[in-house]
Amino acid sequence: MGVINLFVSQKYVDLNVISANQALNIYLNKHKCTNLTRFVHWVIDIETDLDENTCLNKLTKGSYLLCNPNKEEVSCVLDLNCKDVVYVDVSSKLLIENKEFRYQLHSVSDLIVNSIEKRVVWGCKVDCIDPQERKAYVENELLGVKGVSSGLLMNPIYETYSFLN
Amino acid sequence: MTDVAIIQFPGSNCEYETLDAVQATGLSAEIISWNISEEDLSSFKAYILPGGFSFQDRVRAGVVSSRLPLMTYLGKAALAGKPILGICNGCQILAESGILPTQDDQEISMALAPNIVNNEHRGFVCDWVYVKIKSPENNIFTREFSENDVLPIQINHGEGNFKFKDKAFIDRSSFTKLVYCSEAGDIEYSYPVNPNGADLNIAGISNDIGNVLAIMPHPERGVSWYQIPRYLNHETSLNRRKNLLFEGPWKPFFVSLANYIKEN
Repeated sequence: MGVINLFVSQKYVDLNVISANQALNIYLNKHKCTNLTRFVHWVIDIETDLDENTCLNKLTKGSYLLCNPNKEEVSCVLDLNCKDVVYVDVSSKLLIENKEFRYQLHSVSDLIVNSIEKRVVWGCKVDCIDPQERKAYVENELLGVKGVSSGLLMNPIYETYSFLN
Repeated sequence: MTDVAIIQFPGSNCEYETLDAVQATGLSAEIISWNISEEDLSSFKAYILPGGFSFQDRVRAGVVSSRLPLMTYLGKAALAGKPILGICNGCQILAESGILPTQDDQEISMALAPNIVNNEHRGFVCDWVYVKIKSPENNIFTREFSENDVLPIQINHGEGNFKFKDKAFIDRSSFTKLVYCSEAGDIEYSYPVNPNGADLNIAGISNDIGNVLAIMPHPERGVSWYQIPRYLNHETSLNRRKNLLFEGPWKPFFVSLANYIKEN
């Protein structure tokens, strides 16, 4: 198998999104950002010959470790086709091995998990026609790379980011 | 005019014990809401951002509060020399607001990352640890202490791991720093002396002009004798066991603030 990506989102309401939206639109006046979505992104390196769907079932059916199906939904693929939405993947720069978590996952799925990393994907809908301008807006006004008034979606001291589309 | 404003954010939960700690020094204090007007806010002589989980730690601990209009005012108050203290979640809010350790630009130069021990998530930690204070004379809140003091203090956080943009600059600076140490006062950089993986063992740090302090442990939980546990291997606990402890080791922290306010 190799690396599997799981994208977990809230089925009903995501309070992180509500507060981020409020802070960006009301306190920081980032009015071009018209909507936000948020996904917890698990990057899991698995040692197995099984296909992606079987792995997904094994990882998520036996426990709530990665996803609580009562209130969350999970997918291996993120739909990147919304043309006015910029997807940005925020990850930690800190070295975290997650040995205990890997052991827990192994005990519920019977899969050998070589590594697991938790990231957050923000889908930022930006009111702007030019795709490059949209990306620049996210980078300069929403993420917080350049300081307090330039957003809040990542902390530049211990986090980094990459665009998915 | 009330001396100290204790700012209650949605999700603060340490404001009342902070109020008690301040009032125990004879200062007047009031719990005020995060959406108070700038005019009303400016009437106070000092500000404390208490511990808790403001905005449920959504997005990141302290980040939503750090973007509130109130913080713009506190940034100006910090530059004007007014005392500002952030405890635990208040410390996280100050770090995310860029007020500390210097306010030269709008950049963020320090952060509170999740607790990490030996490359593993440590999760939420609730424990008693020890700290020493480096250059205590350089901050309003620590002037009553000496560099030799080894002080027991409670920590209560999931994200208390100080990370700095320029660690070498912080290490060389003469800013007041609270550092985790052993009960003998030795600064050991590994767990359990350093409970969360913080750079340079830092538990709290002052700004460059010495009127703002961001501290992850809870000094307000060490002001009265009955707040100190009997089981620590430290003279304060020993005194507690012998009924000889009459006030907590962190009373001088708030007395320092009271003295400053009375002098100015």
